[in-house]
Amino acid sequence: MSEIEKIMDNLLQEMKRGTLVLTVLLNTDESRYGYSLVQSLQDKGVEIEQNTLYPLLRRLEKQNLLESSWDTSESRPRKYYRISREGRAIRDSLLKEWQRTNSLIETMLSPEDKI
Amino acid sequence: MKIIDQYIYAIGQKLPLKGRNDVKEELKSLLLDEIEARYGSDPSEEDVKNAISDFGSPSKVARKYAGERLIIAPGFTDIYYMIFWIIIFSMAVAFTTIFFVNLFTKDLAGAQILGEIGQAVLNIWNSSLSGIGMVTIIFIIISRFLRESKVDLEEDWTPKDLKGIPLGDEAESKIESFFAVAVLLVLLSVVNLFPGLLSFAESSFEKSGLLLGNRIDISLFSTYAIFLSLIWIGDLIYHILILKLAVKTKGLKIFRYSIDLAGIILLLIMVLDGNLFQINPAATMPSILGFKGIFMLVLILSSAEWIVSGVKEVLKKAEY
Repeated sequence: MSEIEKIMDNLLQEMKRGTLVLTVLLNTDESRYGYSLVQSLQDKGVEIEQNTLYPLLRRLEKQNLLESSWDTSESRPRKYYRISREGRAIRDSLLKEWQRTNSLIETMLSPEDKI
Repeated sequence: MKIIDQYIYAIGQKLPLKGRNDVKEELKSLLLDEIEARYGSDPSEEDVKNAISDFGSPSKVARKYAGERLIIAPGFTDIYYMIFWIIIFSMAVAFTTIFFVNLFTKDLAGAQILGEIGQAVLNIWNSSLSGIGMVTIIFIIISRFLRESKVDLEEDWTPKDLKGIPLGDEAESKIESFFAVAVLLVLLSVVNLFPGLLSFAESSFEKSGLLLGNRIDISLFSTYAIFLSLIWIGDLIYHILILKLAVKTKGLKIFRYSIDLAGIILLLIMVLDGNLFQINPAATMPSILGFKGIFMLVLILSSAEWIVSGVKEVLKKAEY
């Protein structure tokens, strides 16, 4: 990997990391367990490592943005996560900020930059 | 499967105690989901090994959950490095001084000089390592206690604070005073509560193979300790006021000069007191190596600093 590719890779990772919380908050209106969320996100084209998502879910739970509960009714117990009331409020704010930033970037694009 | 339990156990050992079981249970469940999705409900041992391998090493997985644990909190890094270099510099100055004292007071020649240089380098290395090690442990403990909170020594800083900051010679470093207070408290404790540490330090030093030219009389030193303590308490008051005001006022300057002068006079009396430093009977030839040498060094440096700052002050006044 060349130096430029490394820089690009790092920048892309940073950019994706920045949108990850919003992505998770947008996909937890229904209760989901870790593996099903990874699958669901991958189906939507969001590439995410399990080892990044699972700790993130716990961190968001710790911050009270997600609620969790163990389902022990099946043979394998699973921990389900769902967005909380605080999580929704944060999600709305993040979404507004995302849209605002997006609009700002749009205004900075020259006609040939626009895809 | 046993290997899954072993893998989860290995991760668990690297996780904080709080919430460990919950993380382990969840990881096991997630891993089983993954294995089932990839290899069906009856995977072979090789399949499980592949899935575990893709999941990542126990350390890597645990690190993601526990977060990056820094040994020293970022807010303390600057101050840690400052102390780090102070220790190395101080040890280098101290043992270089001892080397030169030995060079001029002992009859050294050829290989002995090289031996002394080697010993000095070794002493600088060993003492720096000990000092840095001790400081590092203290910083680790502080960082650990403050792990949950964001460590920022200037957290409450606002641009309004700039208004009160003096420029030029009137400004005084708070960091310097902060350390001066810490050092003075240590000195006051040692001199008043554990004066025996001075004899212990002398004995420890002699274990390095060097013989002290003189040894301090602890009972007589205890009398001097009263006056030393008075001067250090004065110094302590000065630095506490600096920490509070952050400005060297005229009154504080005079106070400081007076304390420094009193300290210089007291050191002079102590150095000249023949009973305070008794010649080490084990020494083959007379030398100032020992606390007498340290006191003389401090006396010379303090006097030089006192004179230089006094002259600077006079010159500054003459400019106006």
